[in-house]
Amino acid sequence: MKGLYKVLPPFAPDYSGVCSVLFELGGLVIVHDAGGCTGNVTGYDEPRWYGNSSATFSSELREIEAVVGDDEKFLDRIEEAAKDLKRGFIAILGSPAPMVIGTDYRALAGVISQRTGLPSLAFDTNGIRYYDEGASMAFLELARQFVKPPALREQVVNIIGATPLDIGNERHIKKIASLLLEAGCKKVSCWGLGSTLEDIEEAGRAGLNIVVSRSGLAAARYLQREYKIPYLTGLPVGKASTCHFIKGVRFLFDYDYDLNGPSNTAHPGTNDPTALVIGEQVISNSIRDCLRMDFGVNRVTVASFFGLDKSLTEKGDIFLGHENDLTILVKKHHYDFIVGDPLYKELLSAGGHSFIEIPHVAVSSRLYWDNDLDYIGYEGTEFFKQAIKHKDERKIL
Amino acid sequence: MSKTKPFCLSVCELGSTGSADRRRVMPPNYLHYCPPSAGGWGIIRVGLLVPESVMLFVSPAGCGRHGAIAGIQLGFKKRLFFLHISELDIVTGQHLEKVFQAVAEILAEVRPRPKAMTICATCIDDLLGSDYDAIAKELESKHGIPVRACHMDPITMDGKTPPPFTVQQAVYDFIPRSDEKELAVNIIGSFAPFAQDSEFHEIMSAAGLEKVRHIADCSTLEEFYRMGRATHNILVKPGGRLAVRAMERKLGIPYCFAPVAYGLDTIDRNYRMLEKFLDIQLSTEEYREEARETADHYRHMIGSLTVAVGETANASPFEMARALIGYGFHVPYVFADMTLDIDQEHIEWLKCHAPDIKVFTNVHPTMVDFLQQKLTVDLAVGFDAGYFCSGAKTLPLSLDEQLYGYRGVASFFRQMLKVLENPQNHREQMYASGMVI
Repeated sequence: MKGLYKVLPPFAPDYSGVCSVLFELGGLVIVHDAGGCTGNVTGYDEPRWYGNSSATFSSELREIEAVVGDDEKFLDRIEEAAKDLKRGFIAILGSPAPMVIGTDYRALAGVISQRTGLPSLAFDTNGIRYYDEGASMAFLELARQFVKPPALREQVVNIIGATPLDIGNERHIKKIASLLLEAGCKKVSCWGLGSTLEDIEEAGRAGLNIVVSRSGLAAARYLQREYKIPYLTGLPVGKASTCHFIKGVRFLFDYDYDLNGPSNTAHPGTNDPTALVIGEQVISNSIRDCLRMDFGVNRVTVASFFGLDKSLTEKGDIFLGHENDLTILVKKHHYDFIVGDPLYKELLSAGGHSFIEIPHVAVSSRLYWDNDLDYIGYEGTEFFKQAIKHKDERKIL
Repeated sequence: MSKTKPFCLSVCELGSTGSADRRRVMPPNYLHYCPPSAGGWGIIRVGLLVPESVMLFVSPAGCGRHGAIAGIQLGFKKRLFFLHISELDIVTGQHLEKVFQAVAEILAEVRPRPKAMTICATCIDDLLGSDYDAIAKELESKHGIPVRACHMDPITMDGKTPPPFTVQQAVYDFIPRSDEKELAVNIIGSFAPFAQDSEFHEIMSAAGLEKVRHIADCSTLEEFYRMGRATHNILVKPGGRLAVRAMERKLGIPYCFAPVAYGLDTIDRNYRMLEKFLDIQLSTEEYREEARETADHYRHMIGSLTVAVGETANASPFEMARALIGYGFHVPYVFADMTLDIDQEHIEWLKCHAPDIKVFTNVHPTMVDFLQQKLTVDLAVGFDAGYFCSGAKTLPLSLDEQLYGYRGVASFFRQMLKVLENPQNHREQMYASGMVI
């Protein structure tokens, strides 16, 4: 039945997405919850939590406050914490319980701003939607609230959409940043991973935004509309795709116009090998490019339990609304290769495919977040080559 | 970003605000910090102690995530199912209808067919006033297996029926009343049975009490039901308080609270209390002597140590601090969020004998910058103390193993020595334990 999950764990919720984006930005982030939701974030959705002094808190909502609608206690707690802890902004996020009582976060954020003198952000999260929507809200809100109109344009690149929930290890972003510097960019600022709020304030100067997950799209589109900053979508995975990525960046920076080279447009034959990539859309698309361009696996379908943007969707790509949808999809179609989080394996019965594991923190949480796979950049080719070479040994049936 | 001094009280300042049996260390009305070391077994894992049972967790997707991941880590996920609630469900109440469909599907597919089921609801159903007990009754008659409702609703945490207590009540509520009685005791409150080497079984056996039962020793529902035949319940951890009270009402089994302790005098007092409760003579002197000798032996081997004690340890942190001071160690810090009624006498003792002890809470917002304090101790007992005293060697003293009585003390000392000689990576060990807030 729809909504019944017998195998997969619940995925990272929207409030985890918001918290992940704001984690490194020096704010006071408050999840309006009874404690358990914050425990989800800090224990299971935030690999950077251990040893860090990021100020993410629970409001400790209690039944009586919810029943009588006593927001004053919530406001007092925040005011008190703002006095004790000097942080640059305040963000309040929703959870299921305050959703039920119809909490107006925007109004509360307004009061908080007045009382503390700090900019306050409000996120109407509810723990029902998934992390990608929360992260998208947070990136967009950062763009709206903090990016200043640029006085000049520079060869700066913003990477938008990177959180550990999608990207996993921060090393992946460092690699993309070094490729961008290699391509001639003067500075790379990755929102939410290694950048400060000041970097985001200056983000309007950028000549290019790189969107590395669907959750960065809304902010990138906003910046394009407001400040005419173009954006590219995708990550460099594998040799051909990385060359193409660098050329694309150089083209947009006007270094050269030679965009010839391998293309990721596929013209599949019916006997070509087939693959299914299950995961976040932008990352999955980038893996699809690698499989096509480096290995000639032209018939690749992307499937996702998370949001799909129409402009990035190919014919045949599929949104998975429920656990059963994935089982049915794999029963219906034969795939030679399936790429995705290891937890999906249990849902994929017969089929003779080879499963290539790329953990997705938003799915499998801490189970694999210390795994350090090297698939971004030129090394992506070697990573998938090894995985494809061992197809026979890795068959799940 | 300026760093703030963490909130802290001297043990002498520990106040008396709050209900009689549970008092917060931190004053009310603060945001709560959730350190990486927060958590314990969690509601789901406790609920699944019922043998041959499965659990259906009914909630918005986010609520069950930590329990599910811990379930995969620790191997109980196969018995755990999630029914995700949508916004439309909340508005229409349709999710309550869907519970019936979900249960039918689970029982039709899972093999062997579950013999019992727990339905777990969350905060939002408390606010919506959903009646899961009525649903459980209906499911029970429809499917012919016992079904109980439990709640993972931290929104009630400050009330008289917080979820860590009510879940244990729900677990033991599966046991039917039995007219057949036998001379046996149940151990309630702990999630693991007493360690194999505990003298408890020998002492009881010598006094003619052969049967000591614990839920985690029961591999079948039938075996679990036999706990209903016992003549006495012994409560060893406060979390089982509602459960034993309910068992007294429903099953007619009286209870006695003899909490886990690490000081020899406190252990002795527990046994004397049990003598009265069970109305039998318990010969404990040789075990006490053995424990004293073992403690002296290890204390000599280990030498002087400074020890921080945390709340996540399988102990009352104040009793543990008192015991450690009694064995000759220096205890400068305790990490605790609550003080319970059973802590009071130990707190009073510490006020007289170790008034300089600083008490930190894990949850005060200022704890976010705590690692800047760089507190140094040799040993931390409990993951929380180990996290906040980051250079210390950590003895988790987890809830997965239940030390009890005199040999519990000996075991504690052995574990202490092992940790000092071969410390483990705190982060790895803590994440592997699958703790859930």
